[in-house]
Amino acid sequence: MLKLAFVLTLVAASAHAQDKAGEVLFAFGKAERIAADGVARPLSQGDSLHEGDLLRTGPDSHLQARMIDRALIALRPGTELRLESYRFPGREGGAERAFFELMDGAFRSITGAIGHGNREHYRIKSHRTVLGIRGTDHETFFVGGRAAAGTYNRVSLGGTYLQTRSGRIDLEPGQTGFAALELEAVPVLLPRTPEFMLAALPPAARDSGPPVREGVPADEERLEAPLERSAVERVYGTGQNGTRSFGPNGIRSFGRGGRGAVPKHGPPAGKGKP
Amino acid sequence: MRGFAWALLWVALAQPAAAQIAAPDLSRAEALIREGKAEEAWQLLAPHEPRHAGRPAYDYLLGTAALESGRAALATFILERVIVVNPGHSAARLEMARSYFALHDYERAEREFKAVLGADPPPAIRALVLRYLDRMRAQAPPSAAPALHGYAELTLGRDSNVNAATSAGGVLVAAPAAGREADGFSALGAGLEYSSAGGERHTLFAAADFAQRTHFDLDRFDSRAADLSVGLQTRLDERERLRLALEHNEYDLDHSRFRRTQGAAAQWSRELGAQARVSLFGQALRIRYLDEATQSESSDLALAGVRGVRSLDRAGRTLGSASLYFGSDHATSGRLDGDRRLLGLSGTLQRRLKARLEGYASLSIIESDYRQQDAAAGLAREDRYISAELGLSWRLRGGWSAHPRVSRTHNRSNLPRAEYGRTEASLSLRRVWQ
Repeated sequence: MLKLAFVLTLVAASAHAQDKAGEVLFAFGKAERIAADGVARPLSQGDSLHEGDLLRTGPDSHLQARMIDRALIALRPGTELRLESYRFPGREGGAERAFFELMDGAFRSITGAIGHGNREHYRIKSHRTVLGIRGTDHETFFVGGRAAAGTYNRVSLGGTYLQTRSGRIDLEPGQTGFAALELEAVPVLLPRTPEFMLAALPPAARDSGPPVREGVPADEERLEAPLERSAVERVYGTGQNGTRSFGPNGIRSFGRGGRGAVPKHGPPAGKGKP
Repeated sequence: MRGFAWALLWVALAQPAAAQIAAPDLSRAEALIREGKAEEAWQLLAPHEPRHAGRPAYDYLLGTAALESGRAALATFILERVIVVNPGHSAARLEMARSYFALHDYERAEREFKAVLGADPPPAIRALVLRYLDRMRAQAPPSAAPALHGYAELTLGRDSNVNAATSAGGVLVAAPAAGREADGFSALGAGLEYSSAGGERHTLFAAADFAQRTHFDLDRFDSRAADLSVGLQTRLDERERLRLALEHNEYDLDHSRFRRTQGAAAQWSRELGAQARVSLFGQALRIRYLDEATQSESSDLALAGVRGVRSLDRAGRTLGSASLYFGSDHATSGRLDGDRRLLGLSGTLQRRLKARLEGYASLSIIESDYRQQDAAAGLAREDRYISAELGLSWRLRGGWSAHPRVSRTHNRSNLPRAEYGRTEASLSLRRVWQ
C-alpha cells in the first residue's frame, strides 16, 4: 500500500514539475500568485511558479524568481505579470517559450537560456506593445492612468526592441524607449530615463547597515584603468596615445623595428647611412 | 517496519539538494573577498542562494563577490534585495553604485553614489565616491570644453642591429655598412593632443609627436621623427564610431632629411556588446625618401583591413585583438624590386596582472610579394616579416608610468640582400598630463 502511495506521489510530483516555470528566490511584503483556479496564494521563498500564473505584488512589495532556464525576474511594487507561457525542455530546440504579459507595474529580467539562439521565443506583451530581446538585462514598466501612460523599457545589457502596430525601435544598453498607450502610437527613444524608473528601489534611509567593507577605498583598478569606457579600449592604448592608433596595432610600431608595411622610423633594410 | 524504512528513505531523497548544503560560511567568504579571491567567494556563496536570498548579510557578500568576479549585472540584482530589506544599508548602496558604474549605467550609478554621500560616510569613502562622480563626468558625452593631453618620455635601450644590416650587407648604397652593429641608445619623446567637441556627435582633434634617438657610439644612426595628425571622430550612434585623419611624418637620419610620409586614414568601428569591438580601416600613404642614395625606395602604399578586439574574461582583465589587412605598395621612383603586394596578420594579448600593471604580447606577420624580377637572382623578391614583442606597462603615481619591452624582428627573404634580424630591448619612463 505504501509502495503504491510512493509511486502515486512520484507521478503527481512529476506531472506538477512539468509545468513548473520557476521558483521564488525572494519575496518581500505582499506577493502572491493566482493560478488557473482563480485562487490567490501568498508566495514565499522556495515556492514554485507555473505556466499561466498571474504574479502580483502589493505596494512596497518585491518578488524575485529564478526561472527554469536560469533566467531571473524581479517584480517591483504594484506589479501584475502573467507567465503566459514558460517552457524549457532542457535545451533550445524550438519548443522553449518565455512569454510574459505585463499588465501593470514594472519588472526586470536577466534572460537565461531561452532567447539565446531563438530570440522570437522570448516576448513580453504589455497592452498594445510587444517587447523582444536582443540581449540579456532589461527592465520594463507599464504606467497607466497618467499623461505619459504606456510601456517604458530600459536596457542594461544586450538589447531589446519595442514594437507597436505603428513602428518599432531597437534599444541599446543605457537607452530607454517608450510606447504610448494610444492607438497608432509609434515607439520613441527617450532622451533620459524617467525619474520613476530610476527610483524603482527604496530611497536611501539613514545609514543602518554594517560599515563599508575594507578594500573599497583602494578602488584604483576601476577608477584609473584605461578600460573605463569600454573594455576593448585597452588594446588601443598600447601605443603612446590610443586616439592615434589607427588600423592594426602594429602599424604604429612597425617603424620602431623598421621595415614592415609602414617604415616610419627607420631606413629600409640594408640602407642605413654608413 | 520495512515500509516505514522505505518512507523514510523517500522523504530523505525528496529533500531539495539545497537543503543538504550546510549554511554558507560568511566569514570565510568575507575573507576571500578581502584577499581579492572574489571568484572563490562567489563559488562558495552562490549555491546557497535559493535558501538564503533575502538575508542582508548573505546578499551583501554575494553581491560584492558577484561584482568583484565580473558579474556586475547579477550583482545589481542581488544587491537590490539588500536595499529592499534595509534601505539604510549604505555599504550595499556603494557596491550597487559601483556595479552600475561597471555596467556604464551612469544615471543609476550617480543616484546611488549620491545616496552614499547623503549618509555622511567616512572621509575615505567620501573621497572615493567623489572620484567616481568625477570620473563619470569625465566620461560623459563630449562637452564643448576643449581638452589638451600631453606626454613626455625618456627611453634607454639596446639595439642589436642599429644599421639594419642584411645578411648580404647593404649592397645598394654607395658605402654599405660592413655588417650588423649593436649599440645602446637613449630616446626622448614628447607629444600633445588637442581635442574639441564640434556638436553632439563630432570631435575634432590635432596631435603632434616628436621623438629623438641618440646612439651611444654609432652617432651616424641618430634619428629624429616628427608626426602631425589632424582628424575628426564622429559618433554614428551609441555603438558606432567613424574616425578620419590626415597624417604627416618627417624622419631625419644623421641630422639630414631622410624620409617624408603623408597620408590619410579612416576607421569605422562598432562595439559588439560591452566586451568586443570590430573595426574596418583603411590607410593611404605617400612615402618619399629624400636622400639621394635611397630615393628609389619611394612608394605609394594603400592598406585596408579588419580588426577585432575582445575581452577574454568576464572582468575584462584579458583582451585579445587580431587584425587582418592587405595592401598595395606602388614603387614611384624605380625601386629595384618594383611594386609590392602585402598581406598582414597581427595579434595582441593583453592582460591586467595587477591593479597598475599590465603585460602584453604581440605578434605581427607580413607577407610581401614584389613584382620586379631580380636580374642577378632571376626571381622576384618574396619577404616574410615577423615581429614579436613582449612588454609591461606599470602605472605609477602622479601620471608616471614605466614600460619595459623587448622585441624581435626578422625579415626572411628569398633574396639574401633583403634578409635581416634585429632585437631591441628598452625601458621607457613616461609622464602623462591630462
